[in-house]
Amino acid sequence: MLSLLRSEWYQVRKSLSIKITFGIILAASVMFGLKLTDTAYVSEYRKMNLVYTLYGGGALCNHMSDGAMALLLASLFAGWMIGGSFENRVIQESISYGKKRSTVYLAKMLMYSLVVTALCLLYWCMTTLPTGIKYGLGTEDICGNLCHLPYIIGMVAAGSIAYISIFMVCGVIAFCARKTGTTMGICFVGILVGGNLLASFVSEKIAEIIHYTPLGLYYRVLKTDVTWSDIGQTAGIGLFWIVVFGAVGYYIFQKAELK
Amino acid sequence: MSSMVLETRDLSKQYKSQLALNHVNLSLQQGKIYGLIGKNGAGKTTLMRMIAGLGFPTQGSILLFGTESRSELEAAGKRIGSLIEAPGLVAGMSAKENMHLQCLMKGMPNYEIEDELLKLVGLKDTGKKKVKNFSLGMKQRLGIATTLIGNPDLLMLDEPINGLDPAGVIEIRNLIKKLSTYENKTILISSHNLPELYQVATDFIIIHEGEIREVISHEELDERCKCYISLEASNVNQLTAVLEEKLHTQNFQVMPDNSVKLFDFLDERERVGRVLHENNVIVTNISVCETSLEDYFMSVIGGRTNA
Repeated sequence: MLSLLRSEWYQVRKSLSIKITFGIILAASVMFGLKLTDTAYVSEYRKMNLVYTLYGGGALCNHMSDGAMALLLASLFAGWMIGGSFENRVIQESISYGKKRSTVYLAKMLMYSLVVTALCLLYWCMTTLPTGIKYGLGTEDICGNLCHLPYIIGMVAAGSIAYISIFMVCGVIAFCARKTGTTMGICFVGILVGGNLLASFVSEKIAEIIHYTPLGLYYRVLKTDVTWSDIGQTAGIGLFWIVVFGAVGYYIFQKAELK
Repeated sequence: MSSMVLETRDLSKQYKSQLALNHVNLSLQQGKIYGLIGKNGAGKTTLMRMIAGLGFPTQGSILLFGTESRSELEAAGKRIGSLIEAPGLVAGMSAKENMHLQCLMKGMPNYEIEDELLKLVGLKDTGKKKVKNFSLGMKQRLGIATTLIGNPDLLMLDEPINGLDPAGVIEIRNLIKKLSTYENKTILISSHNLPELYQVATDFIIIHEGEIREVISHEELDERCKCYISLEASNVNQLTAVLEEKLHTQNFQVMPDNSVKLFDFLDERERVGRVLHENNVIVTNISVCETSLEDYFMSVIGGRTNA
């Protein structure tokens, strides 16, 4: 397992695509973060009753709600890191060398999830940083519990777990498609169609069910009055779905005939 | 005494309506070079993929180094180096980086060995050139180098000389022979280049429509393919009698079409013709023939299409 993780990390370190994406995200998030501290934006946010987004924890919560960005990164990296490894036959090579499929799968999914989560955290945190530095963490009457650092850390941790379980879906798609382009295509279309469907056709009953999926993080932790119970529930639900999606992907990969 | 490296028992693979492997029983001995010969779609790559664990047999079992339990097979896999269809290389990395990646993956990073293997396949001086800018031959060489990581006992090479220039073909041929002769490695090579395979293999496995049609050693093949004088006469009994009584040879074979294969007097064709004529044998055809591996393969599978 360790040898596979080391080889995965080596691939990440050597990947030009990852370096470029990292650079773009870093630059864009800093620029975006600085822009949000502009007086024009501040007055606009005040008008829209989004004052809490001017303070550290609130701003982080606001940026974490940007699911599209996270899923876009997940689609890209599932294609590059998993689909690409099937295309360049590195996965096949490790299996024919006698590595267990379970270990190969675990190492791949782990590194993919970590890279995407790290990039998302970089985006969320760097975008928040200028606001946080300028205005601080705010007060309870504006930011609720998100003016306290432990709650902010809890929200980010639980949110990240929930996001990882969503990223796993793209990972599973990559293990099924086993091609870079196909993985990205399916994930992009899935995000667009899925997002629109959710926005347009979800009844109250279904919305209730969604609370128990990773998407429940939008109701539970991405809010100012977050509690430890919300954080625990979101983390638990996230972990549950990580296991479910992980098992589905593993089952498919275990049975797959590799070309 | 050579030991068994690989054994397949009744190995079959069914893809929907197509039977890719049909009850394949095969055993590979240590230290031999096996040439796997078959037409496109005969089941060569499928067989290699089953052995490498990339596919699952519908029926039958594989014994690797004497074991067939799943957990032990995975451990036995570490003693196999395989190059199936295409080498597992990252296009955006250099040859050295790819070697390092493979070594990391196999849990044995060692820059010295990496350099040694790159030198062995003639890629030590490629520097930072990315694999995506390599020629097909260079990629093949790098693929062969990666299969040698960990000093495997069994090498499976699917079209290893594909894309190599003539000098590269000679180098790889010599390397394969050296690995077998001096390091006692077992090598299974599939190739459509039969003259090349003839030069390197010690044994040949002929596969057709998923079935192993024949496993034959180089010596046996030479025996069967050796040069002969083909004789056709109006009276075959008279012809064989003259061969025995006047030319004092029994080293001939009467074929089903009544032609005679004479394995002696290859340099004395005129004398054979003269003796037959003097003994009133009406010879309708006399020619020197030689069977190549290609001809032999075609005769075994019974067709005239590409190998």
